[in-house]
Amino acid sequence: MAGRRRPIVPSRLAALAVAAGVILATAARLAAPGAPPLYDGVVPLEPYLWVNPPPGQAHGPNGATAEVPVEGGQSPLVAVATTELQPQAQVFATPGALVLPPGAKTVKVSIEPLAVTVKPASGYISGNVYRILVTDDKGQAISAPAEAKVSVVLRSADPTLASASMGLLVNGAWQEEPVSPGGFGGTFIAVVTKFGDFAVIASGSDPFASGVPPSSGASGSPGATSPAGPTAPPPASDGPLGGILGSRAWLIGGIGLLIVAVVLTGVVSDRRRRAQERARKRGWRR
Amino acid sequence: MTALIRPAERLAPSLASGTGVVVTLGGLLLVAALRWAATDLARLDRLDVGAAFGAGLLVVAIGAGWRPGNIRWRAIPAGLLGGGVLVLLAFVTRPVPQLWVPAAPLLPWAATTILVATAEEAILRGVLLDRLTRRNGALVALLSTTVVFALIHVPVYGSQVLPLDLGVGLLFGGLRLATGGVAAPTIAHALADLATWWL
Repeated sequence: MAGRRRPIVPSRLAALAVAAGVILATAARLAAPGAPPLYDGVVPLEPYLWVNPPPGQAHGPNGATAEVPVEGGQSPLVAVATTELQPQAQVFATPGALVLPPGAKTVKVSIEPLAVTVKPASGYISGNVYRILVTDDKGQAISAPAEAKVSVVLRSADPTLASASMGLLVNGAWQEEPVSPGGFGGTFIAVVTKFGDFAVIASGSDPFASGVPPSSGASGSPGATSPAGPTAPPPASDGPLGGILGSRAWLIGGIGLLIVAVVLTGVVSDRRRRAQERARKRGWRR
Repeated sequence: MTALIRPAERLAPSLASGTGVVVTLGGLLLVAALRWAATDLARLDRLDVGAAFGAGLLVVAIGAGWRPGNIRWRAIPAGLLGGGVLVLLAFVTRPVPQLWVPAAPLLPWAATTILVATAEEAILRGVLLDRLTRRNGALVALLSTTVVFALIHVPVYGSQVLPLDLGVGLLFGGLRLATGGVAAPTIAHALADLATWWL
């Protein structure tokens, strides 16, 4: 069958297309490293959880704490995130990145969501304020040199937010730090040298203040966000497959049926085509 | 083995005409617009919308004459290699490791992701590239399907993904031209999409 068909194009065009594609994709990724890693989009996001939710939004953000022992006088790997399925606040430090006070035995990290009490000079805070504290076992503050690239990652309340800055509350005013995009859902990364109260600061007017929030892309029905009380936890696993199947067994079944239907279509079509070819050959012989 | 391309020669002549191209493209854009409306206007569940989007594209592709055929075996390593390059690229250029994963159970998410990748390849690199190649030549077909591929992602991610998706579209188109079927770009596409669960 393949022998009868002429090649659609010279192979040189195919090779050029592959090479150009890889070069362009590499350049695009290097130019915007936080761009979505997906090349297509099925990206369910959890609704943002607020300390003080605007009308119709969900309440009940989580905090996080961790205590990591110091080994060999060097700060340990720190990777702490709040416990939402998609963490709303994260802090990362590679081993040795933090400047430890003398005699430090452990590094304590705490992330606490807070309501917004201080507004930025311009723009608005998208989401909660997060108090991120990193101390030693005696409670002494730990800092980090800029070159260590210790990073704080915050998710904004607006998943469509494309640009923002990271605010650090210093002496009662927001000091804005540059960020790089951290992937889907309005997530932003800032390299930090000290810790304290952080928030995502966006320019313009707050879409949640207008009462018409931007599309959350939330996974689950619109009713999954409740204005009163904490958001319901994810459904419990009903068995060994519950965690990976969730309540979507019907979706798996539907897609399976679709695949079977497509394959059957191909089989029927192929048989029909072969029958026609046989009939044609018989015609030729006569 | 199942797969993924109905050779151009087997398409009905009417479907390979200019009208066929316009109708197929119209169907694709309609499904993409419905997806945008369902996600951004009606705020429906993205996983459900993604599954419906994939099924819709597949219906358009089949309606336009695409049928699964036989996979050429060389398409499998080509697809794995292409997908591997994209996964590696995403891995090495990510700014910091992140702990979050898509807020959905793995299997439904993976099934939907594979469905969408397959459907997009069936209609773009299967039906449209095939027809445009016959009408306008391979270069025009490659560039046109690449641009359409990038554009249908703009409502989902914004215009900042255009350079990346243009590059990825060229890569997938090149795989399609090199192997003669949509199996290779489908494998690469699905692999790159699935890897984002862990990236």
